[in-house]
This record gives sequence, C-alpha cells and structure tokens, in this order.
Amino acid sequence: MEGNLLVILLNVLVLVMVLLAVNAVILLRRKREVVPPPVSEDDGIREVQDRSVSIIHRAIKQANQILVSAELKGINVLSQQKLASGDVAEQFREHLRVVEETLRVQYETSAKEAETAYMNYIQSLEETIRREVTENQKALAQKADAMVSQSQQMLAESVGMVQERVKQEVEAELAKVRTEIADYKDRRMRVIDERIIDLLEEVLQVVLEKKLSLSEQSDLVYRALEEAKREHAFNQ
Amino acid sequence: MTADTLITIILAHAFTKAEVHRHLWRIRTYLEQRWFGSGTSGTLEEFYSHEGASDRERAVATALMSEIGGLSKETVYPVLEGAEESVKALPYLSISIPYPSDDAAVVGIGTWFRNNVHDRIVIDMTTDPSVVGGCAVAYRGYRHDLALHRAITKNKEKIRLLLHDYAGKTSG
Repeated sequence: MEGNLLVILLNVLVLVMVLLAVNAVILLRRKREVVPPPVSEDDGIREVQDRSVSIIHRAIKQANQILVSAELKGINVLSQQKLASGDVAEQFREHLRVVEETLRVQYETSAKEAETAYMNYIQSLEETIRREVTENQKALAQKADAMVSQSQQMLAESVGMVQERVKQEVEAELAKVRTEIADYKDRRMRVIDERIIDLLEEVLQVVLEKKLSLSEQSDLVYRALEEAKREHAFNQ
Repeated sequence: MTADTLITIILAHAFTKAEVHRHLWRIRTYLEQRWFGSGTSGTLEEFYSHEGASDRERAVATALMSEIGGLSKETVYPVLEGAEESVKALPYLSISIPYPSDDAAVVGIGTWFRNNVHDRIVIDMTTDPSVVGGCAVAYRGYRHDLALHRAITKNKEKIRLLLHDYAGKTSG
C-alpha cells in the first residue's frame, strides 16, 4: 500500500512538471503574438525559440531533478517505511504480547475474582436459602398451628351448633310426634266415642221401641214438636 | 156454598190430605148418585154411614147438611173443582211417628200443627219405627229429625264427657 502511494506521488509530480512546461510554451507564444519583434522577426523568433528551449530544457531538467529527487525520496520513504513497519510490527507484537499478558493476567484475576465472588454468592445464596427455608418453615409451622387451632375451634363450634340443631330438631320432632300421637289418640277416642254413641243409640232404639208405651211415645212426639217449635224449626 | 166454605167445613174435622180428598170424593159421589143415579133419597150423613165413615168424618157430613142443599147440577162442579184447587194450595206437612197412627193421633197431632204452625195446614202421617223417641217432620222442603237420633246428636258432647268420666272412674 505504501508503494502504491509513492508511485501515485511520482506520477503527480511528473504531471505537474509537464503542465509547467506546457504553460511556459503557451506564455512564450503569447508573448510572440503580442509583442512585435523589436529588430527582426527571425532574430526574435530565434531568441524566443532559444529562450523557450532553454526554459523547456530547464524545466525538463528541473523535472528530471524533481523526479529523481522524488524517486529518491520515495525510495527513502519506502525504505524508512519498511524499517518502520518492521519496528511497528515488532512493537505491535510486543505490545500485543504485553497486552495479551496483561489481558491474561487480568482475565485470570477476573476469573479468580469471579470464581471467588461466585462462590461467595453461592454461599450467601445457600445461606439465604437456608435462612429463608428456616423462616418459611417457622412461618408455615406458625400458620399451620394457627390454622389447626382455628380449625379445631371452628370444628368444636360447628359440632356444638350441629349438636344444638340436632337437639332442637329432635325435640321439635318429638313434640310433633307427641302432638300427632295426641291428635291420633283424640281422633281414635272420638271414633270410639262415636261408635259408643251409635251403639248407645241402637240399644236405646231397641229398648225404647220395646219398652215405651204408646202414650209415652206420643208424649215424646209432642215434646219433640214443642222443642222444634222453640227452635223455630217450622218458621223456615 | 163456595169452594172456600166447603174447604173450611172439611178442614174443621179433617187433618190429612187423604181425608180432605176423601170428603170431596164422597160429596161428589153422593150428589152424582142422587142426581144421576138410581135416585137414592138418603141424606149425606146416611151416605157417610153407608160408606163406613168414622164419627169424625160423619161430623163433616153433618156440618154440610145445611149447605149442600144449595148446590145444583150446574154449580156443584165449579165448587168441587175450586175446592180441589184450594186443597193444592193449602200448606202441607209430612210427619213420621214411631207407632201406628190412629184417629186420636191424627187429630192430636193435626190440631197441634193447626194451633202452632198454620190454622189450615194439612198433614200426611206415616209410621217409621226408626224415629223412636220422637218423630220426623218434612215441611217446606226441609226434613227435621226430632227423634232419639237428634237428641243424642244434640247431646253428644255431654254423653262423651259422661263416658269419659265413667271410664276415668272405672279405670282409676
């Protein structure tokens, strides 16, 4: 890459010299067109030609010198560059080596520190976890105890309520059964009473039919009619 | 004589609807036999006697003796038909008694109803041994049980209490 730069520089210099020479020729031509020849035209032309040749020659010479100088400088630069690049490479290698060593040392140090920190972190984490687990166990045990106590209390209350409710229901059911038995007994008694009264009526009918005289039966008829009259049975 | 006079005279000695109809039938028969028959010349009382009427029935014939002479062939039928219609309009009552009804029972009970219910009421009396201890009356669409069953039903609660007291005393 450095060689390419030098070649480009030389080409640029050559181009500059060529341009200077062309410029000089142009100036001379202009001067010849504008300024009339003082003595004679041939003498003037010759002088101008000489001067231009001289100028071109000087220019070429200077260009050659410049070129040589440039080549030399380029060569010098190239050689210096080559020397410098070797030094730089060496320095760079050295520097790299130093950097590598430094980095290695730093890496090892960092690795050790990281390992140490990691171990510490692991230990603290274990400790933290152990502590958290212990605390959680304690908290869990406390909550479990509280829940067990609360559950026992609720169970006891619930059992008490259920017992009370069952007792009330049993008592209500007993009262209902007693009432039903009493009603049944009353109904049965009424049925029995009705039956007894029917029997009594039947017996009385038989007895009265056989035992009552006509006058007694007639008397009962009038008594019944009088009673019906008192009750306004015939006023309907 | 009008139909109402005839009915009034009959009702003075008759208490059942059958008796009233029987009187009207005998009067009609007596008059038709006299006017259109073999020309019997007997009185109404004699006709009643001949028919085997009771003393109470003959009392009706006696009461009609003076009135019936005013009837002619032309006027008797309107009077009799009017009397039939009047009988239909009379208040009517049916009574059942536990013993066989005789004339005394009909008169006694009929009089009682004439005095206590309606002065022109006619009754129909039947015998029903199940109404022992009283009677049963049907009047104006209602049946009144006035017998032993009614008395027992009316006093059922008292009888029941008596039975319970008796049961309590005997079991105690």
